[in-house]
Amino acid sequence: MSKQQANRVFVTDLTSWSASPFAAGHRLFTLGRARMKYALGLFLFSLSLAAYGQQGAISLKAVALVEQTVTNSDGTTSTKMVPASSVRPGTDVFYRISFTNVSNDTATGLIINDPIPQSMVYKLDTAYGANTTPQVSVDGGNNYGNLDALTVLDETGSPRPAVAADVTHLRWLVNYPLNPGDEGNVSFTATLQ
Amino acid sequence: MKRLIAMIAVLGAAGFTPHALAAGTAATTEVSNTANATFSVDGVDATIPSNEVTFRVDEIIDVLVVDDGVTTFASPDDADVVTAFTVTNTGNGVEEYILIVDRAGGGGEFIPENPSEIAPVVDEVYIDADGDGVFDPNVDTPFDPAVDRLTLDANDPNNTSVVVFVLSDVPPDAVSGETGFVDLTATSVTYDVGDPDDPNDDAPGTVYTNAGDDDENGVPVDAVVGAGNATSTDTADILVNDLVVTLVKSAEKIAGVAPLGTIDDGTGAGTAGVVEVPGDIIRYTLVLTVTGEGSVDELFITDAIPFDDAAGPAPFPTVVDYVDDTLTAGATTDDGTVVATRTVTDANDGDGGFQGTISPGFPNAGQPGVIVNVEQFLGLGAAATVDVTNAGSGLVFTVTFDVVIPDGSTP
Repeated sequence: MSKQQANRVFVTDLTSWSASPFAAGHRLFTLGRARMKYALGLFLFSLSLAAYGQQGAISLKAVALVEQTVTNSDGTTSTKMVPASSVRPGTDVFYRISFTNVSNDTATGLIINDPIPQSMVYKLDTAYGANTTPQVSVDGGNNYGNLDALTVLDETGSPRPAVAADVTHLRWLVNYPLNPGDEGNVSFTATLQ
Repeated sequence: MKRLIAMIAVLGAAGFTPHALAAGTAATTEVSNTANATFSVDGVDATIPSNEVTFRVDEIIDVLVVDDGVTTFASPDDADVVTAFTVTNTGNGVEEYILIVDRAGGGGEFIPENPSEIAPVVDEVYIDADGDGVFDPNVDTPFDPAVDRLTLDANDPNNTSVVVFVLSDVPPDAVSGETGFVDLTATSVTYDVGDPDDPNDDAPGTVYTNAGDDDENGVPVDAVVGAGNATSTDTADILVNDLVVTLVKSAEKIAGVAPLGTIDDGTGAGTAGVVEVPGDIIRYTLVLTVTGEGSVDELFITDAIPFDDAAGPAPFPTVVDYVDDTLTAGATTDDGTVVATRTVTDANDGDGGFQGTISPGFPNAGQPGVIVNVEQFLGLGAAATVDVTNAGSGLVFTVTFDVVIPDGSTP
């Protein structure tokens, strides 16, 4: 059998596998080792295509905002939140992560994770998300919980209660299935050191 | 500009100790954040990242000037009296500063003058190039306030702060007991290029758009005036005091191969025939005299014992060896009190050892030698001042110690 002919048979195999996996397995077995290799590759490829499809189900968009004071035309001042592009130390930065189910399937077990950026300190009790359970981690994201239940080691190696400055990661457990078109957001504030 | 660059290089190598921490995260730092989400669809788990949000850190411009806290004593008509200040970049970036000296604004009883003896005349300000805190015109870098700019990097521990020396003359008509003041002001160049007509442009929080440090792509961040208004002034004081402190040293061969006697100090005044050979014992005598009006504190006598550079690192081996328990001192104080000559011990001179390594901050620090705290020895207490007001004949303080010339040594 020429190489060209082998390829042609392989395409036929794929069609068969899609329709009837058991039959495809039988055919693959009978087609020999070389064809099994090709078939396995395509199987994995098709799995990754499936995963890619799931990933596309949720749209995740993050923004960082800072408060800006503006002078109005009548001379009065007011504040507004603007995207952070240039920030001075000591400033509070408001992070908001918005999520939307853009697929036709329901997403469940949604968890939003966000590390506290380097040079920033989490501001106590600012993690928020409607109908979510915010949790913090003080060990690089290995363990999560409420801050008052967590400890860190002090300079002597003894445990001490964790404080906001110890927080390394945040996560929000979204307490509802996300149906097609559903959207929500979570947020927190951190201070630039 | 070449002069400025050269000075920065010297400062960077000098190893200064920062006096203050930088004001937060370094200017131009990029702070990035990416969230992610995990979820399941139809039983298949997936993880997706968000977009990355990034911002840059503004430059805080600020500075702190602190005088060294030490009253500088001087006599009428003294030239080049040195006052010292520490200038620190208390912002978070690399900043240039203008230095301004003002001697007339402090309201003193006399007005120090701009020195005229050092050429060019503008060399009234020096940067402590070697970081030792001691003015040395041959080592330290002249700084022309009209032209030069001082560059300090808040994020470089070796170049966050620097000592600045200001030289002044005391007018001849200044009277003992009078005080004159020297102000040093450092002002951020970034602030200085603001609107000179705006009296509020140094207010903390004032933003100079795109006037801060350049990021790695050469794009400047904003500069923001820090809590210290990006300018700082401190005042050093010069106290006229006509005390005269003199110290005379002599050496005498007291044991060994005859003849014994005073060793010639180069003036031909020594005892005829005295030579020094191994085994000889030499007695050094230091006579400190304080006369005039006023007071002096922190009075120490130090003397390094010669050591052999080629034979090994300081402090040992010495060329001559100190003879244990021979360091003695005695004094006649200004009120006529005679302090009997006695052996100086750690207890009665209040320091950590009278024969050992000379402490940091003294001449020949790190070398073997003797050090005597005069105040402590006189029993006036650790914080006391040797008061020689109306001293008359003054304070005479004599210190002696013996050394032996070891075998094989060449003193």
